[in-house]
Amino acid sequence: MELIINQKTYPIPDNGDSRPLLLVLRDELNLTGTKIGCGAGICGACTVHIDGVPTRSCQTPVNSVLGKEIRTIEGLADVDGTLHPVQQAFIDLQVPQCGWCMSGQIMTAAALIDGNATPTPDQIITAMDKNYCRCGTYHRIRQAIAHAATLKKEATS
Amino acid sequence: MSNNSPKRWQITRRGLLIGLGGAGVLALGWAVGLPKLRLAISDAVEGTEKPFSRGAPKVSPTVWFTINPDNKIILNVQKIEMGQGILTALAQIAAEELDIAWERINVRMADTGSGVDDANGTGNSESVVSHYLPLRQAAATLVVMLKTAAASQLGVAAGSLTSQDATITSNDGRSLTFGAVVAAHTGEWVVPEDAPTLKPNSAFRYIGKSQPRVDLPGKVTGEVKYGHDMRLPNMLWGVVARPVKFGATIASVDQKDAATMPGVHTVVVEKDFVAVAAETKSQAQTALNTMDIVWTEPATPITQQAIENAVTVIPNQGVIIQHEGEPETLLADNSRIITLAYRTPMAVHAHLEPQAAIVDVQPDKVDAWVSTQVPAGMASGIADAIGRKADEVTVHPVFLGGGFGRRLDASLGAEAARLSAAAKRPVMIQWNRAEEFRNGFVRPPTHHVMQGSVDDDGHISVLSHHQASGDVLLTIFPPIVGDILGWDIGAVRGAKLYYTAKGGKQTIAQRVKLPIATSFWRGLGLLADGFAIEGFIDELAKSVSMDPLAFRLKNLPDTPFGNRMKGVLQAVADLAKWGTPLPAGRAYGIACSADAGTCVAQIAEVSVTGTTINVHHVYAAVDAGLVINPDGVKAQTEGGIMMGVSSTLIEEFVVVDGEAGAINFDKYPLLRNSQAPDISVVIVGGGDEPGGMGEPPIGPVAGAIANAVFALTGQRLTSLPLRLA
Ligand code: FES
Ligand code: FES
Repeated sequence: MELIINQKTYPIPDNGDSRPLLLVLRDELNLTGTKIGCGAGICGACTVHIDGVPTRSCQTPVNSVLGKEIRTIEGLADVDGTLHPVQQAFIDLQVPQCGWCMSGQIMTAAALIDGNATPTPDQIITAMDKNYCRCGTYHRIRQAIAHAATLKKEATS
Repeated sequence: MSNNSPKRWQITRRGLLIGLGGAGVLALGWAVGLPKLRLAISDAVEGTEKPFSRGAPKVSPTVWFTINPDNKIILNVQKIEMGQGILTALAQIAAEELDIAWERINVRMADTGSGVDDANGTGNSESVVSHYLPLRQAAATLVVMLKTAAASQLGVAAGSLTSQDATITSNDGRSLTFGAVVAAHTGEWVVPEDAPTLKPNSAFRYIGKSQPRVDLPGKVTGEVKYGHDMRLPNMLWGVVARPVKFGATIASVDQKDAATMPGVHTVVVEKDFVAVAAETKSQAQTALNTMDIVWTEPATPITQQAIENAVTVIPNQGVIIQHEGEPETLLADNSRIITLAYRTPMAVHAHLEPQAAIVDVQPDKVDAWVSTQVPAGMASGIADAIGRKADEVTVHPVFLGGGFGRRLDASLGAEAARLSAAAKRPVMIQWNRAEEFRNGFVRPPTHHVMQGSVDDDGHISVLSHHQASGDVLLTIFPPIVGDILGWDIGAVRGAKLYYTAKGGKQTIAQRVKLPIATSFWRGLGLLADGFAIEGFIDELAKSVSMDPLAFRLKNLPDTPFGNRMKGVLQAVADLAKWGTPLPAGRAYGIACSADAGTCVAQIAEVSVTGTTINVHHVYAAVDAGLVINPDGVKAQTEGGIMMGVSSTLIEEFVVVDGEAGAINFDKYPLLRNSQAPDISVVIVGGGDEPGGMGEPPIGPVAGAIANAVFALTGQRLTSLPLRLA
């Protein structure tokens, strides 16, 4: 069995089971940038992109994503190291505290920005509403996503 | 300076005394047990007006700092980064006195045994407070030592040398980098006896400036490694049998064929410890599930009702921890006495990273990577668990996905160590969310009876706070300490009354021993006490039809501390434009508190939809004395407020059928983005001493929101989470 993660191919054992993608990423492939918070689809810490769609990897059976484009936080920046506008905005506004939720927050926000160059405040809240942050960075997250949209516009104009 | 054997001034090893003013406190003559003595102790260990500080490790500058040949300077500290920005703040303090470019300093969480072991751990809002002067002194001393060494290397007098950005220059124009001086140095480093002269505050270029956090680049790319992310070659995954019911213990175990199941490497069955180590986590779990484990449940079932009944104020029970004037006389015969009772529930930490430990027990040494706020305590805990000496154990600190007081006990590392010792291979144990809910510890529930009255002129005449709480701090001491002391110093964080009461005031602490584990949670008693005191003060203001802000300003003392409190109240009122009309359906509530030497005032703007309370905006003014990193102070204020809003509106941990009423966030939700207010913070005050910041901002939150709800609806809510009728 193979997974395509961040445009690289990773062979994984076919255990004949439907173990969660999150477990494969973290425990088998040592891609630990994707985090676990609840293992139950509630907190959003495990969010990755599957064909561009933000998806909870703890609720995604690995055999359902064979052949699909999986993107994790490790593959969000450009290959030359240029950060995604959301990553840059999260640094600019000093968003992360402990940072454990941030991979999920950033992947969720990146999917939003990539699909909608000018999200409204309500769209931002709706998109981000299922990602917990126990450290309480919520209002910085909202501001940073608006800032990321501006950064992205500047970069493409 | 790894090529030199550093000369250490003196390394003091203090016990794990989180929240106490100092180790000496426990040596007092408890047998006397006089009320006066208890009051004196209560004053001595209190950290409200003054910050807590148990000091920094007393070690040579050559231990605090490592200087590389490339002239990079590494600050070694054993304070743990859990989101509070401590690494950045400490680097700012050190870079200031070293007088070096910001890029030149790196900061590293130091392994145990590396010389800067800090038995105090990270917590208590005291890391900056305890390290501020010691680090400045160490840095300034280091520069003196390097100049002395450079002088002999250059053959000139040390007094003729200048140091700029880690380069020492003589007046004949020759220069040496710090790195070059260290590389060329031979023999022992001698630490000068005299304390160096420190920079005047007016010359600060890092302290007081918002330096970007040093740990954030790695946190937005997923590179930073937390405890849960650590892996070792050849490691096994461990799982431990844990009770579902509170207080249950292992009665009997039938291993079945667990030991021979696929991937299983080691099965440990001991009286108090049943665990499996296997090649994968699911193999270990499957094997554990196969075993027949019978649990003995507590003889008296633990119920929510029993806990609440136990945590109930009983007149004349408890210890008087604050007493001024004659409050009892006034309370007895004043017909104007108002009484309100407040209640707060248990709560979990819900640190988003479940805790994890990887321990490698080897014949001659033990290496451990553990999610802990206290590496030094963890090293002794691991050593004790497997009968090794503490100095054989190296705990390598890791980043924490939230701490909030949860990561202070050593049992996590001890379990992995026991399993690794049996398996003779490294073992990783990761907790899952259900274990965190069931088998961790919780914020103790509290009950408060507030009493007081106000004269016609708006002065408080008498004020009384009687608090009942489960334990916080006593849980880490032998039971005898609590029995002699009679109250829990941690549970009463924020309990003492800071308002003036003309006729007298008192605070009584009633300790309640509970059958489930309660302990540290951000701010300890602060959130609960702030809710009770500030809600009640609002009620007193209403009783004489006074504006809640004006009432507070009138009744705070005319002391330096009282003036700081008034300062934050006035500042937050200005920020939120207190007194100007709000849109229909909105209201403001105000509250303040003091903790760890930091004064905080907040105004919450709320509305109500049906029975749902919406918190739209929280304004905050913070006086943390001398501020190292203003944006860091703002971030901690925001974080404390959000955690407080979550507790105020949503969180409640309950016992159902003797077990955790929730084992995941479906039944114990946290605050979500759409429920999270906007926050505005203003920093006021100043001076020469920093105050704590990790916990103080959580103090006023619940009071401010409840008071806003009262202003809007007329309902005086006195239980958390707030529920409108
Ligand atoms: S870990 Fe997947 S949603 Fe929480
Ligand atoms: S930054 Fe800690 S959980 Fe979000």
